[in-house]
Amino acid sequence: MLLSRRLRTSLLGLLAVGALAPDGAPLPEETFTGSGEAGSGTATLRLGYYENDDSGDGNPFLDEELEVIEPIFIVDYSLTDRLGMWLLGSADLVSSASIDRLSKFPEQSGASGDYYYGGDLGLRYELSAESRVSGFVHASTEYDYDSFGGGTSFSRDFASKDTTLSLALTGFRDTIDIIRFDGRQNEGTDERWTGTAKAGWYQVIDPKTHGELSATFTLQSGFLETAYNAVVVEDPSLPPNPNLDNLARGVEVTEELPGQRWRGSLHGLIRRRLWPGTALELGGRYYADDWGLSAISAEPALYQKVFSDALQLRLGYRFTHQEAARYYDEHFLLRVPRYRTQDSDLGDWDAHGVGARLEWSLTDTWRFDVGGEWVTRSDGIDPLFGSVGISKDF
Amino acid sequence: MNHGCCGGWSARVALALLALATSACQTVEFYEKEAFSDPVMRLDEDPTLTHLRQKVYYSREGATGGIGDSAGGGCGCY
Repeated sequence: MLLSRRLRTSLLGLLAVGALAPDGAPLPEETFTGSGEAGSGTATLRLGYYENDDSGDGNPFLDEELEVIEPIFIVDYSLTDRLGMWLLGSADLVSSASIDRLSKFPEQSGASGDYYYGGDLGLRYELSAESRVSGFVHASTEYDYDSFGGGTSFSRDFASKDTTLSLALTGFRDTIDIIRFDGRQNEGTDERWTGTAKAGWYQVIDPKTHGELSATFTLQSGFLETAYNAVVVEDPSLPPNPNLDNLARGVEVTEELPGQRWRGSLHGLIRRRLWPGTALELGGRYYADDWGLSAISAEPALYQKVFSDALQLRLGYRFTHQEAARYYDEHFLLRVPRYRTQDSDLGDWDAHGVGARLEWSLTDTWRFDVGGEWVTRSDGIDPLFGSVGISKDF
Repeated sequence: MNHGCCGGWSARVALALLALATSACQTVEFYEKEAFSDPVMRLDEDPTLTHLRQKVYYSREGATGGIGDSAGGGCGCY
């Protein structure tokens, strides 16, 4: 029964249009497309770690060093043979971020001790052997954010399950306590609305190759700035500013960005089994938005069985080239444009990342994995992140 | 700054992926699908791993769609 369930999960997983590599990762409701026998399920616990040191690079006015620990759990349970549910919970425990700035402005939010707690509750239903529908609700809270949302998706198989098409819709309403870079809180709260439509296509290409293609469109409106971000207007006639990491001569003003943002992305991947126990994948992604920011990524990966079917190694490389938003600049010398940002994550950079992950099926029901990725970015922000996870079928 | 230089790249990547996905398509009988049961061919990733990577990319890249791939559900800022 276990073997049967795992095989079925695997086959259905192949049909999960949204189950993509990181850049094209599935919408939440697409993640749990497997169905199982009533009373069966899977529980997974993961502990993630993230850090980056800006090495004095990135935004020259800001210390961007930080560490984050993120526990995540998911329980996926089949209520009946056709109806299932899942529960996801996660948290961000930010142990250090902009420490120097936080000591000066302890009320500042965001990157300064911003703990996140969130959860999703979802249901999926198998309408027929070829079609599935699912939905979920989401809630999360942070120091200065509260978020509620939900979504639904529909997928249908064609051509003896060689083809699957899917459509997913999600929406979120975030409420933001506007706490500025200097701790000011006199602006109250604001809202951000987000709607996303995602269309996916899974295709068996030949007996050893399959792939996925997806297109995502997002419209956001409301308060789209990061409330605690500042822009430094440099003025050589001013004395050194002790609140700035580099003691530059200038004053900080708020980040200002348009109240609407259209975002679109196209993602595809193809994976081919070279021979038993070895597969090669090529993934690619293009992103653009109406703020002028665009990016392209390429992500080849090798999947290799090690010693036995129980042990699998993934070796991957990821290249990303990002073009800055038109409102971004490293320096604003004696000028304060209407829209402005110095957020290095909206800037120009290239990134090279290498990663490895080892997955080990300890028994028929227990699985363990450990992996990490190290990224070097041309602007000096070099993230390192990894995780360990364990899951059990029941 | 040079904006929008990726337009040519995007078209090429999209066309290449589309061409690969369509030109090589053929009906594959069920008895020919043994390769897809090989664990190295599984496309479905552990959802907790997916969630973690989405969060990381969303928080550090302006280009990423967001938590849950939908640019919503919280600040997404570290």
